[in-house]
Amino acid sequence: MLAGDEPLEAGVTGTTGSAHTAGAPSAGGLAHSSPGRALPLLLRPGLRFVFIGFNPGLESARRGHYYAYRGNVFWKQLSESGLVSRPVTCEDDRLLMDEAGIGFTDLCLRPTLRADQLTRPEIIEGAARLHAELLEYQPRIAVFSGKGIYQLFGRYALGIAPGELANRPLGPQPERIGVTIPWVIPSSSGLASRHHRRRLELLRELAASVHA
Amino acid sequence: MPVPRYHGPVSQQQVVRRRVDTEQKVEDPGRRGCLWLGAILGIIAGVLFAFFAMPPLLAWLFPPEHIAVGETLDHEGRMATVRELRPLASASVDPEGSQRWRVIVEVRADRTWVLDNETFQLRLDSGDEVPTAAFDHDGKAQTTEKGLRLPLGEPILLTLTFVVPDGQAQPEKLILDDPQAEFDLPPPSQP
Repeated sequence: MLAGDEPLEAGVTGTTGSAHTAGAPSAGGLAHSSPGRALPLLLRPGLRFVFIGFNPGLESARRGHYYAYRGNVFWKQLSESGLVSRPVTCEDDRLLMDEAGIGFTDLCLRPTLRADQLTRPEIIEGAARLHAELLEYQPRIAVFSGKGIYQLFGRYALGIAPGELANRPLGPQPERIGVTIPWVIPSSSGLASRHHRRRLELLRELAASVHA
Repeated sequence: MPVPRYHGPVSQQQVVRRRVDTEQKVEDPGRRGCLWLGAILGIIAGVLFAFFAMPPLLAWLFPPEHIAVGETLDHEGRMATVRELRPLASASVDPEGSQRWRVIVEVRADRTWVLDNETFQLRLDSGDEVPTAAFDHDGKAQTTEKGLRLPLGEPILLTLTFVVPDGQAQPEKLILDDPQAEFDLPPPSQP
């Protein structure tokens, strides 16, 4: 028996605990939902960063906000990173495109308890969809919040050999998606807590790269 | 004008005169450089010793507790027993050629015990260790910012999933980092 709504996937496979709710109200009319999306797409042209999770977690889907599960350090670390000018919570997700040039999306759209409950066709389709979104909106940096997410995206959307992706270091990646630079950081799941210090360092590097 | 000369007896005190040494001590610059070099080499040797020699030395002095199949680790309010080892079909998110393994462990925490994905690792016959990819449980454990917090005083069955990148490698032991212990694994049950 699984434990209710809790995301139990450890960070090695990069689950996010993020979520969207179909038809959720959007601040400033900038967020838009489409059929099949559990959460609204928080993307538009000209963004500095887009954070990409695996797929919405059940708790996040229920609450209608990205990374809403309480054991996830996403918002805590974003607040400490220097990428935003004030402490933020999951309820600020729709405001950050205007405030800080930060958008959100996921590799796959269907909410699940754990990422390994997604099917391979869903992942292949999600990688193609995400690739199209990034090419359309061309954010400056696409931040993959979990190494496993970029491994799947790189394999199915960019055609990179899995063996090559497995040995990639964290941080900026050599590929370009249009003008977008992919960055890989560890998962924000509580189960990957030993990597959270490194994650915060990478977020601060990101903030410094923008301010430089 | 001639200076009058003293022709009386000379006391002992007048003969012993104090000598003022005006010569300054000069340090040899080569010697100072040698001291610095020695200090730096000493620090480097200490760091190398701490990083490379201390861990095996400590492991030899304080070996991890060895737990045989069916036996229970009981260490300061933390108890764990390995119940089952089972191979699983690989999942959509797994790398090609990988193999999933599931280890079921009965645990009980009488003091705070928070697990993350490196608390339990699966040691393979290749010598590699893989972290836990996913947790399932049948109790009231909660995922917090620090990891999976076990309920106090309540035994639960913890299901640990490991993704072994090299599907040919076989599980050898389950490793626990705190307290340090190595669990022998039972023969794999049927998938």
